[in-house]
Amino acid sequence: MRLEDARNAYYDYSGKLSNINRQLALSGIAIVWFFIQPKNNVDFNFGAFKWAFIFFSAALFLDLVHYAIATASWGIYHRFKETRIKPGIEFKAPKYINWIPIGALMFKVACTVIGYYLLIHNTVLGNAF
Amino acid sequence: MKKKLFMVATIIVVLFINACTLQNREACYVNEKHNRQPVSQTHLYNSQVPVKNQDLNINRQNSTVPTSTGVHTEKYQMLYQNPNSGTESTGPR
Repeated sequence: MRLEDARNAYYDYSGKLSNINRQLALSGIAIVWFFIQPKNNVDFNFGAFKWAFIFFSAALFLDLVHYAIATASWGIYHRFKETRIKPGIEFKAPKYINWIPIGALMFKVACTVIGYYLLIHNTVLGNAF
Repeated sequence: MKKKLFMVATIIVVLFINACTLQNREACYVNEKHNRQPVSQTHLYNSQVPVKNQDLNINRQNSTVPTSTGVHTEKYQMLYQNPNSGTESTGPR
């Protein structure tokens, strides 16, 4: 096994994790929407699902932040290197360039997990009714 | 409920900071900035530095390199430059 194999595994699994997280956050919002539907012509009220909705929305927002920051940082760094070195020369990027994308990935997964915990807590335990 | 969420958030932040600083731990073990004594040819390993961190692709033919701050061995020159800095990863997908 070589370093590239481990790195490619990291890329594959983090990509799958982001996709699954995005789908789960959207599904969580759909579940919240289902439960807050107005009944008897009464305006809907988030009620106990307010925080679950906030965490699912935060997960989707962090998903956007992850890819926006990664796109900007690598685009800028690529242009920076392009003007300074010749093609074909190997170099290493600074470690901190990946810190925000890594943090966004961790926090968006955490937000989705917390959102589902709140959703299950409010539905199974019956606090929403 | 708020206390539980705060504790979970704190744990996540600590784990994140720990993961980000993981790459810097090798350089911290060397502690070269506080140990500028030249190493003789017969004493390749410094007792203040963990043995496992002294095999970092170093050329064992130690040679003294005069600098403005004193005499350093080639071994400490390479460790001080931290050849393992930087990353080849383009981040998570």
